[in-house]
Amino acid sequence: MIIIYSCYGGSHSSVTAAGIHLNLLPNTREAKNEELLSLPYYDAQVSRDHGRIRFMGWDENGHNVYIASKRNLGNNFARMVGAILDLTQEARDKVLIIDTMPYVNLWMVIGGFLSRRWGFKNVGRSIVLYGTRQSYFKFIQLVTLVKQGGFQDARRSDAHSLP
Amino acid sequence: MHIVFLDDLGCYAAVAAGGSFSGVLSPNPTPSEIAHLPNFAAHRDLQVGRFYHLGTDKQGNQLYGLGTRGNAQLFLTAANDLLKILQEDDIRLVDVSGFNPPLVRAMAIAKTLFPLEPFAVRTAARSLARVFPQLVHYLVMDSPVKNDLTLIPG
Repeated sequence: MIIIYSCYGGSHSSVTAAGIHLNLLPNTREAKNEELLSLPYYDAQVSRDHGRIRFMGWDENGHNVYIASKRNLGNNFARMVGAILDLTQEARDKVLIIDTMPYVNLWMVIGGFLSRRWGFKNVGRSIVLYGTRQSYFKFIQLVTLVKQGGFQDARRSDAHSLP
Repeated sequence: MHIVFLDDLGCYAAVAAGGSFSGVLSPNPTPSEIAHLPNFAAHRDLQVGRFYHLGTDKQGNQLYGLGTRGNAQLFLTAANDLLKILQEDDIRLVDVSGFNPPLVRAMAIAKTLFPLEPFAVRTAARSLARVFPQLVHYLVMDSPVKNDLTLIPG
């Protein structure tokens, strides 16, 4: 299966969730700043990368984990991708898109904006790291639900975007 | 093969492009011909992500319209990446959102207001008829399906 964590810029929340999913980050304690910054693509993508689906790794069950940026498309992103995937039934069952935006807090928004949009990396990165740690256990919970397969049945009855 | 035309709501320039591909429209269609295409201005709200089946072309390819409202390029990138990951080469995406003139976008909003619906549809069709030759030129000369010459309309 292909699991895609998606957020506005594909730089912070989706990367963090994918990192937890792939055991690149701890799932029993809050991650340290160095651990977050060592993740590939963390606070690294720029606007021209938006839309790209980046490979993050394989999880222990053999699922491919990706990240994607969707700007302000919200659930429409999953709806549109789902519409394309509906053309091939086999592909539709292979892809699960997880929206990480509900767990993004104001600190992450402000920090991400400063760092990625305005280029104030030092200030923005400090703020976004603080925000990521504030929401960290929410990301752990989300990833745990994904790994437990709690979204598999829901996916069949709704669009591909969860939660 | 499935060919998906992307525009703001999936039922304006996408429908015209589908009409061109399927041979329903002549190279210089009248506004009335465009307005009477199936699924032209078929939206009831401004919800994106709706899928419209636009018919079949002479080669048997299925034609669709999909609404992406201002995010066609972002979606094109994401969808093409995903199709590559899935190794699906049976789906082609063509962005025709640039052929929706501003007037068409305004009429798409007006169309959702019930009393303005007939006026909005006619005005949008007139506006699209003006850019239709450029749209056909784009589909023939620049489209992502250009590598397959059998897909060129007309």
